[in-house]
Amino acid sequence: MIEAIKQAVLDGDRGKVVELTASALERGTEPKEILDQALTPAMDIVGEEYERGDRYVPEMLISAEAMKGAMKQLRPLLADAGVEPRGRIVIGTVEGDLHDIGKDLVAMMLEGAGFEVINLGVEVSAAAFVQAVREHNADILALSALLTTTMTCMPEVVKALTEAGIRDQVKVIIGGAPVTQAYAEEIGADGYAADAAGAAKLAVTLA
Amino acid sequence: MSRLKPIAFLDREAVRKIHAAALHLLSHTGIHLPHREARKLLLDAGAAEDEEGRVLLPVAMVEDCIAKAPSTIPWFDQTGTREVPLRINRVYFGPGSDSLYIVDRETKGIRRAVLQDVIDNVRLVEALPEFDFVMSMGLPEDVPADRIYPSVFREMLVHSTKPIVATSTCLADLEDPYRMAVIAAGSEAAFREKPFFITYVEPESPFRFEEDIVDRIWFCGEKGIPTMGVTSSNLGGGGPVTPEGGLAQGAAESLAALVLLQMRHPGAGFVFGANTWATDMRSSIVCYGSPECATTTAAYADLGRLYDLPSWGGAGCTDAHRLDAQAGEEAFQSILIAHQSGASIAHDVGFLAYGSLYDARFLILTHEMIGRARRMWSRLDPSEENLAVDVIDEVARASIRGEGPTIYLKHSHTARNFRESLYLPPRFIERRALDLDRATEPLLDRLDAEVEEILAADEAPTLPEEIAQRLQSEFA
Repeated sequence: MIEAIKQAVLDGDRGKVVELTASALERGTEPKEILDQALTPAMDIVGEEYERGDRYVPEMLISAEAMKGAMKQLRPLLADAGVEPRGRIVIGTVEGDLHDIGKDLVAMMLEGAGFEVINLGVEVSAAAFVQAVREHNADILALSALLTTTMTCMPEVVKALTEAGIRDQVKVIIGGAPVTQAYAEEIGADGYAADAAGAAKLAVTLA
Repeated sequence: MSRLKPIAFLDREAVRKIHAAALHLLSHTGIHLPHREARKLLLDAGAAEDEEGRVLLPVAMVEDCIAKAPSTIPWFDQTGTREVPLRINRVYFGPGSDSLYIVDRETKGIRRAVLQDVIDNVRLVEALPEFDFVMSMGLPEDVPADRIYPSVFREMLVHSTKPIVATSTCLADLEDPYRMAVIAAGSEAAFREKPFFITYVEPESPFRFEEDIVDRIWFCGEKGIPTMGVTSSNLGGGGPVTPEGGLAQGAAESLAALVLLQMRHPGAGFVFGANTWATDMRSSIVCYGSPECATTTAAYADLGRLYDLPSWGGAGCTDAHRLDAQAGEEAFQSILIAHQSGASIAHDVGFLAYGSLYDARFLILTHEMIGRARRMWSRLDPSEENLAVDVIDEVARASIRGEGPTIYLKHSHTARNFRESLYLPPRFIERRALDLDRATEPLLDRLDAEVEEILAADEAPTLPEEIAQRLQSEFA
């Protein structure tokens, strides 16, 4: 059953994933076992295949959607059982920027890697990021921007965290088309990833 | 040599079905149109409104607006002496606009573009005859954001005489360029009679016509500036991944812009088409070097022939980050296809890195490609002189006799005709015999030399001095 769920995630078959997950839970399979043995390994493979060039973005998206179908069932059960996620990540696209595909893909890959992800959406102000980091006691704050005109909001967020006195409590990672490793270092971020698979790997090392 | 008839990319059934799909989209999906005055104009004229507030355009309205739009749009160079009429089957090539980055001419490193780079690129395009129009080729970092578009427009006026395709992000970006154009032309009436700039306006896909888009389209109609509504309905990104669907959406969006223009300003000049290029399914970039850039340019030309409207397209650009074999391959594929297709405007020539980067050397190389494509794909003329049967007879006999023109190279027919008959490449194209003892100068160095030679030459004034000075001081 575990292997079947894993394969259904790899195939991007959300309907099958939902059905098999429900069936597995009914039979007494532990939610954590489904997460650790099926979902996370499937998303690891998805990430590796993407990095090798064997899997494309639309295929990543449907696998991530399929995984979400399972997570919807598992999340409350994991919380009830006191199972802690790998870490908590707040993610959003910065103020003035509406782009969300890349950010949502990163969010899905982070969930697949076992993190609890709080997705604030798009056009998120620095103040809203700070509040979310505080409220959720986030380990990592992930910022996304697709425009050269909006990436300049990223240092504003770093500054706001500093002014709020919580900069040292959270790791900041950034990404998006105009963003670079050099820019991350320039603005005092803790990491940069070029794509969703890279972001998940980076988050695992930072958590 | 004269032009060959354009080659159709879409067969008739495909043209018909894509057109039908576009009309269906306009009448069933409609457009998001928050502009109150535009909504009222269309609804009062018979458009409908669905339960989500989308404006649905009836087929009759669309077809009537297609008929109203001119088949030939007068377009001139900035001096008003050379006409560059915009119509389908007449292909014009030119560069692109808002490039963030430039390859530094000295260090060869990549950096943010500044205004001087725009000036240098405009001067290069001015000097290269196969470029028919100019665009800004830069988003200068050293200009305040709200002055970028007037500033680059000013430099295109001061450093070029070629027709201009101007970009903008809002109405304010067009107002000063128009004022400058009127000063250069002498009066509003003079500009209206011989317009030398057209504007690129980009509604958002799918089918979002925000207030400012309508304001810009109407401003252009009011002032006699030919315009367009070119969406980025890129395959798998702004539009469906199937080229047929992408073309249907892009065509529908362009026709919606046409309707908005013609309903307010009947007979105003409009260029039909969209940017329906490929979205890369790994990196999500819009692929300037994709075969789909070339083929959809050709497809919009086919639709342009159906509507008898000039069409928009792209060519001569690449996703390669450097001027390399990929850049050469991708640029040439689209230049040749655009030339063969009869698309009216093939822009973005010389762009590297999916529209992010300019390298002056690539302007030189893509310019050569345009000349090569135009020369190679042109009509052969089977005249008596060209069939040359007497010459062939003479050389055949002389080669046996051993006297007279024993080879064609020696015959006066060759001397008389070689310049017209053969493609004569510029000096940086390698054509020498292989010599293992001779070091070959790399192509990039040869292109460098061309760039530096052009930019070192004295610049001929393109405007009367007092006008140039007035533009520099009043529109700083």
